[in-house]
Amino acid sequence: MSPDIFIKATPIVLQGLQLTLIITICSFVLGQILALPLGLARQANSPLLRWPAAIYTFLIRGSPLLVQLFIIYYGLGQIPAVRNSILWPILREPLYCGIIAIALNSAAYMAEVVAGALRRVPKGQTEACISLGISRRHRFTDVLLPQVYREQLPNIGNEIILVLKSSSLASAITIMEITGVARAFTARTFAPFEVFITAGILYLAIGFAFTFLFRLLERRYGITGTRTPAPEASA
Amino acid sequence: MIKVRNLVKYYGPTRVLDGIGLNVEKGERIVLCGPSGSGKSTLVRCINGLEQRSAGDIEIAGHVLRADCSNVLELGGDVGMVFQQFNLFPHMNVLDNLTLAMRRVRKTPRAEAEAQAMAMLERMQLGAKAKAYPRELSGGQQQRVAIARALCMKPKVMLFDEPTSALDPEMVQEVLDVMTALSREGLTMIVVTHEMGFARNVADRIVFMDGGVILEEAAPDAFFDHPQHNRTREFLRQIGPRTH
Repeated sequence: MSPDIFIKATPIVLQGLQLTLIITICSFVLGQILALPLGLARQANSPLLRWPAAIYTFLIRGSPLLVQLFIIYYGLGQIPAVRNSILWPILREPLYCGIIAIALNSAAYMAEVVAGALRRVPKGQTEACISLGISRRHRFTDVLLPQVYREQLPNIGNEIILVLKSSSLASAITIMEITGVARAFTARTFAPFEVFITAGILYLAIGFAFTFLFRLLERRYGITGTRTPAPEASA
Repeated sequence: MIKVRNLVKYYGPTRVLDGIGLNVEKGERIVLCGPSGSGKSTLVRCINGLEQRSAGDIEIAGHVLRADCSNVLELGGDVGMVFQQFNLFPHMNVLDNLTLAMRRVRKTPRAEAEAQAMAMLERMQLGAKAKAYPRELSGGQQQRVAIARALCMKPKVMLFDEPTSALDPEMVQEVLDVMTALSREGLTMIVVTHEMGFARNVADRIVFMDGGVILEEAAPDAFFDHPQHNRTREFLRQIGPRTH
């Protein structure tokens, strides 16, 4: 262990910071967007919606993300139809493949979270809407989903940490994010301990920042009447 | 205003409503009572389409309700419902609770909806609570907000499903007072309740249910002073101390 390798490693590892943040934020946002229709489908009455969503979450959650990354990046390129499609410029790029794979993964987990939270909204909420004549659409947009997302803010905050950690796997498909640059640097210096410790500390710091951000969001929005009020900052 | 013919409802193999017939005229105030499990809650929930029925016809506030309740939203707002558990929207303040359906269903512009809602809250002496969230209110206040929310839709009929059963005893009266005031305004009401004092004061007719059928219907004086059925006498004896 030598301190000057730490000092040398820091700027190198920081080079990966931007890509890590891009992958994490893009995958997380895309995952959240996909999770909503998937979660609604998991809860739908029609088996035509419910089954595909159930199969999707089963496949994604049941297989390792690293394998999914390889399938999307190396596997899809083998299919001529994919190479000739308009999606090829996207699927050719490791960065986009990484973002897509992690987002699809995150969506599968979040879909279960959304579906579970929807199930837990008391039935009386739906009944009150019906008795007031509120349409199905507005029932979701105005009453059910706001409650789901407020209740789920802590889980959503956890999810972005999980996505952050998953982003390190992107190094396996040549992306030079934090873990990627750390690996390349170790190959040159043979000082894995110092370099990866530095990388680990950086991940911790990013995770802490996200956690802090979600704490703020929770304090602002994370209120529901269905549980005892969180101790609010007294004004 | 309400016509129920031969209403039958099964929960699995259990027949919870067994051929109910009930006519309610405009402006009539009905109190529905009976031992728990007699089917009175199920009856009001069938009447406003929250429960599907197995057989029978229901016409309410000018709407013919299909058996599968697929047209239940047509009644929206014309038939107000007050629940035992209030069912306020916990993520909205009181004012938004009141205006949501006015804006979404009646398409009332926000400013106008809020003005009407404020007037309604003032009437309920809840004007100061417009910006409060449901969890910051007492049970009695929450139930009065729920009543106000239904009234904002200018319903032709109001249904109350045990509106005071979930309340602490000291809050029962404020809710009953609001309901009594409403009854004086000529609103058609069906109230499921064990509050026999309220029933005697307010009801035009008391309907007594047991085992999924209507056993007895009578004006309050006749009902309380000369009950016809043994089951009714037994029920009144058990519930007696609450007659005030």
